[in-house]
Amino acid sequence: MNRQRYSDQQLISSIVKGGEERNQTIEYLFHHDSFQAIVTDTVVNAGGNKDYGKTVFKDCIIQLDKIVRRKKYTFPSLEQFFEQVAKQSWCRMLLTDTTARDHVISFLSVDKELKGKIKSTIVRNSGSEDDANDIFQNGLLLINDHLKEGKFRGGAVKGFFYQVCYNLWRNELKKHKMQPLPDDGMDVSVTFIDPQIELERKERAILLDQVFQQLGESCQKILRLKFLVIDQYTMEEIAVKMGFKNAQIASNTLSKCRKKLWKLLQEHKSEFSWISRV
Amino acid sequence: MDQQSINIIEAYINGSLDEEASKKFEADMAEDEELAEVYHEHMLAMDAVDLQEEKELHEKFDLWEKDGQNTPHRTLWPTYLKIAAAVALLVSFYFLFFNKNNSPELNTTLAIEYYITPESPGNTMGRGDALWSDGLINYENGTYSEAIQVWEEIENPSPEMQYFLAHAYFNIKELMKASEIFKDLSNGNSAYSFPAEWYLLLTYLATGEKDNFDQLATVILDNQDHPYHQDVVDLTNSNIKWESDAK
Repeated sequence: MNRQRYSDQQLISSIVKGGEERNQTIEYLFHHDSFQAIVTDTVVNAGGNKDYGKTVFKDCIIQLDKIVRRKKYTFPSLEQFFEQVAKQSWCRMLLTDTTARDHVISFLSVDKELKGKIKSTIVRNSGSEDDANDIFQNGLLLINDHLKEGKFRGGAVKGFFYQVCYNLWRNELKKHKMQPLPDDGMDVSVTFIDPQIELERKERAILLDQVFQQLGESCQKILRLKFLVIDQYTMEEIAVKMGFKNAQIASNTLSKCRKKLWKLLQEHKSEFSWISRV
Repeated sequence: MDQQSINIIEAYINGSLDEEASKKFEADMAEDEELAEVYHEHMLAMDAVDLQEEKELHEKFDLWEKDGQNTPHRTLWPTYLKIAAAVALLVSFYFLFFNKNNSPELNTTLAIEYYITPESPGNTMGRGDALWSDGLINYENGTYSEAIQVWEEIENPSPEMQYFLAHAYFNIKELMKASEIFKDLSNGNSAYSFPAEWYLLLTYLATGEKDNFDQLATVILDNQDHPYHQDVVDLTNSNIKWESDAK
C-alpha cells in the first residue's frame, strides 16, 4: 500500500460510481500511506503533530468524497488536493480548537533556532536582547490571536511567526522614530478564513443534522438516493428502490421531502440570522 | 415547479450549464422567488445528505482504524474479483440451465439473455436489520444460497426483501421458489410489483410454462405504461419455441 497502485482518475471514477465501489475506494484512501504522509507533513510544518495530522487526513478524505460526489473536483492531482485541503482544514481547526492552538504556541516557544533567528534580526536592527525576548513573547500572544482570527494560511508556521515578530519590531521602531526595518511586503494581517463564516458553518451543520433527523425514514432515504452521488440513480431507479409504482411518485415525494426539510430549517429563523441569508 | 425547471436547477448545481445559461439562470433566480426557493431547497438537501455521510464516514474511519491494527489493508481488487466470480457464476448458471430444464434450450437462452440480476440496494441505508444486511453482503458477493439461508429467517419480510430473495432463488436455479415469490409480489401493491411481473414472465419462459407466459405477457402488453412493456414486446418478438409446439 505504500505505492500508489491506482491512478488519480481511477480513484475519482470509483467514488463517482457510488455504492460499494465508493466505500472501498474511501477505505483504500484511508490506508494510503503516501497521501497520509503528505497531510501529516503539511500539518507538522504548520505547528501540529501526527495526531492532528490523522484528524486532518480524515477531514481531507471527507472533503474529497464530497467534492467528487458533487462533480466539483478540479485539482491537477490528488497529491496537490491533499496538501492544499490539509492546510485549509488545519487552519479551520485552529480557529476554534484551543488545544490545537496551544500546541502551535508550545511548538514555537521551544524552538531555539527560531528564537535565535528572531533575536539576531532584532539585535542587528537597533534592539537589545531584552527587546528580542519581549518581541518573542508578544509574538506568541499575537500569533494565538492570528490563528483564532483566521489569518494563518497553513504554510510553515515558523515563517509566519518570524513575520509576526518582524512586523512587531518594525512597528516598535516606527513608534520610537528610529531607523525603520524595510517593509518586506509580507502582510500577516489579511484574513484567510472568516471566523464568523466558520462559526455559522458549524452551527448550520448541527442544526441541519437535527432537522434531518426530524424527517421520516422514507424522506431521509429518498433524499440520500437522490443527492448522495450526483446522477447515480434516475427517478425510475429511485422509484424501484423506494418501492414506488413509478418515477412520477418518486419525483413528487422527493419534492415534498425537500420542502419539508426547508420548512423545518425555517422554523429556526429567529434563532439564527444566517438562515434568512440561505 | 415543472420538471424542466428542476432539470435546469440540477444542471446549474452540477455545473453542466454553459456560461451563458448559468448567467440566465442566475438572472431568472433573482426575479423568480419560487425558483430561488427550490434552488435553495436543493442545496440544503445536498448539504444535509453530506452531513449524514460525514457522520457515517467518521464511524467507518473508527472501524477501519481498529481493523487496520490487526488486518492487512484492503485494496480495490476484491471488486474485480467479485466481478470475475459473478461472471463465473453466470456461466455455470447458464450451463446448469441447459442440463436441468426440460424447456427447449432456446427459451432458456432467451430467459438468461433478458435476465439481469438487480444490483443490491446497499446495506448502509440505515434499515438496521442485521439479517437483511448480512444477506445483502452474501447477495453482493454472489453467494446466493447463503443469502437465502439468512433471509429466510426474517419474519414478515418487506416487499424489497422478498424481491431480492426471489432473485437469489432465481440465481441458484430454484425457479419454482423464485416464481412463487415473484407471483406474490406481482399480486401486491408495492413498487416491486411491476419488476416482479417481468421476472415472473422470464421464470415462466425458463420453465416452459407456456400458458402462464402467454397470459402474463398479454397483461403486460395491454398496459402501455408498464415499465417493462418494451422489454416484453422485444421478448415476444423473439424466436420463442415451446416444447408443445415442437410436438
